[in-house]
Amino acid sequence: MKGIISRECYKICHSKKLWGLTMLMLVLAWLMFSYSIGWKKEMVYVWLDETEEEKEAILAVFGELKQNVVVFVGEGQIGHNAGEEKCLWMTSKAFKLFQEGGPLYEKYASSDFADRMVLRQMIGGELALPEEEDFEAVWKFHKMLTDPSAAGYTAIIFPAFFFGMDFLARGYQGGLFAGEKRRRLFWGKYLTFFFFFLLLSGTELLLTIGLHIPRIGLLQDSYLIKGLVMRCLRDTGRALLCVPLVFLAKSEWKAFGLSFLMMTLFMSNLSVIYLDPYQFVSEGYWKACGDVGTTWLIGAVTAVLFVISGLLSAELFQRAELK
Amino acid sequence: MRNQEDVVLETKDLTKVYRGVTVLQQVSVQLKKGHIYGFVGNNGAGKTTFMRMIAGLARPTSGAISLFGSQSQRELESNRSRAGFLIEQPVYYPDMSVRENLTAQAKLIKEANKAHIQELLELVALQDTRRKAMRNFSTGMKQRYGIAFALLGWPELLVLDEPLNGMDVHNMDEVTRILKSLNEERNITIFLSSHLLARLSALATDYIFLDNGKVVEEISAAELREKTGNADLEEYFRRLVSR
Repeated sequence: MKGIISRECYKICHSKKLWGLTMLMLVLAWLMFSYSIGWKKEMVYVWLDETEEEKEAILAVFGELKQNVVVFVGEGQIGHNAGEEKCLWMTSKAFKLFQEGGPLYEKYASSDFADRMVLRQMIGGELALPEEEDFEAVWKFHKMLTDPSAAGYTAIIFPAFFFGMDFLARGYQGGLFAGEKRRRLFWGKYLTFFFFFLLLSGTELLLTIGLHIPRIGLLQDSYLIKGLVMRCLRDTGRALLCVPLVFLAKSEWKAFGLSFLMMTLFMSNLSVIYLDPYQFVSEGYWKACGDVGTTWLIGAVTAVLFVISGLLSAELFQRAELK
Repeated sequence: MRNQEDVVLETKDLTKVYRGVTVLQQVSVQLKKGHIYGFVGNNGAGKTTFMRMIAGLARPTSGAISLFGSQSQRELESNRSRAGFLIEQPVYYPDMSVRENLTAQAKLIKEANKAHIQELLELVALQDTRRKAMRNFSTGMKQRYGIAFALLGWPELLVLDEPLNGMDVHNMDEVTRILKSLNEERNITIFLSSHLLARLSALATDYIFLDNGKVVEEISAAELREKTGNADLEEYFRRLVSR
């Protein structure tokens, strides 16, 4: 087994194809996370002592502004230092838009809160208060954890090519010629894949954090680590679902096609029958990562997927006629 | 009585039926140590299928294979490490160099180290390819690499399916010379198929003729020369299968 894993690690380090694939995964993930998290957000916060009517009016105003305006209204919207005051804050750019005399200004200029917004802008000045960046870091981290798109893409592409390239290059044959048994060959490669994909998933998340969430250090270490680990496990579990399809297709591109079909039919917003094994993980979980039961369940589901996917793929490989 | 220790490969009634078509029919052969066996047959006779079963790439429908006296499936799989294979095309990752490909395979073979890989590269004259990706190799270079690949760990038996395919005359001469010297100097048993019967006749000490999935004759080169009065192999095979 040591020799098999050693061979796989050697190929990962020396194969330009695998390097290219890994870089592609990182770039794709970064692009998708960038889209979800967005570049510069116009952040808005609401005083807790606003009346409900005022809150609704504020929401209405900022809902009509640019699409990248994020509105937090009321208590409990953000899981950071609960209980502290939150303020109505308009970034200078959003306020400038509001003031420039456009239709929004005309519509709301005479409302009560418009004066207060102007006043707070004058008090707060052009610079962001520290609290805004706190909220921004938290919000972006949540968005990153809950965003499914990156997981879906890497789950389709990476297993198809990681396992499929050995059908093309006849790498499995090489293992058999060396006297290795098929099951050992498979499990060695599968274990290598599992740990490498965990690492890849973690790298994608860390890259996103490095580029988009500079003040990530504001979050608690335990919360941060837990969120990242659980997200990596979830991504890896979804990737494991695609592995048997590679041994069914015995080809990189056919496996990719089958995986895409499976994801679309059973694990996307277009699915008629939604069979995502991680559908029990709610958005609320990612905001706090505090639910012990859900945390254990994510680990358990990933372990079960590892075993089932592995056994099925091993059996398919055992029966395969190789060219 | 044959000394069983001298038998490196034995098959008994090996049969392969593929989608209702019988590709191999009760093929029973014994390969003895130190010989060079020419495996001769027309296209579709079943030569590659037979070799693929020896190599473990395909499962026989019935019959038995024994490699180096193996008594069980487990032993057979394990004993494959004592043989080297080149079946149809060599095993290689196109984006890696020849040295990287051999090094990757060497991870599975105890006896193969850097010095051994260098030795093999020099044997097949590929030591100067440096980091050139194998996708840029000519067919002849790939076949020579395939022979080096099969020789990793100095196997006792070489199973080569059409090793001279796609080669020019110079490369064929070179490979023929290499195989002959391996057999003479290291006593490696060689089992190879080829349509280039003239080349085969310069190499083989024994022949196995296959036609429509059945062994039609097994004969040594010496016996064939005596029988035919030095008629060429091609002519002899033609007459054999037309009977």
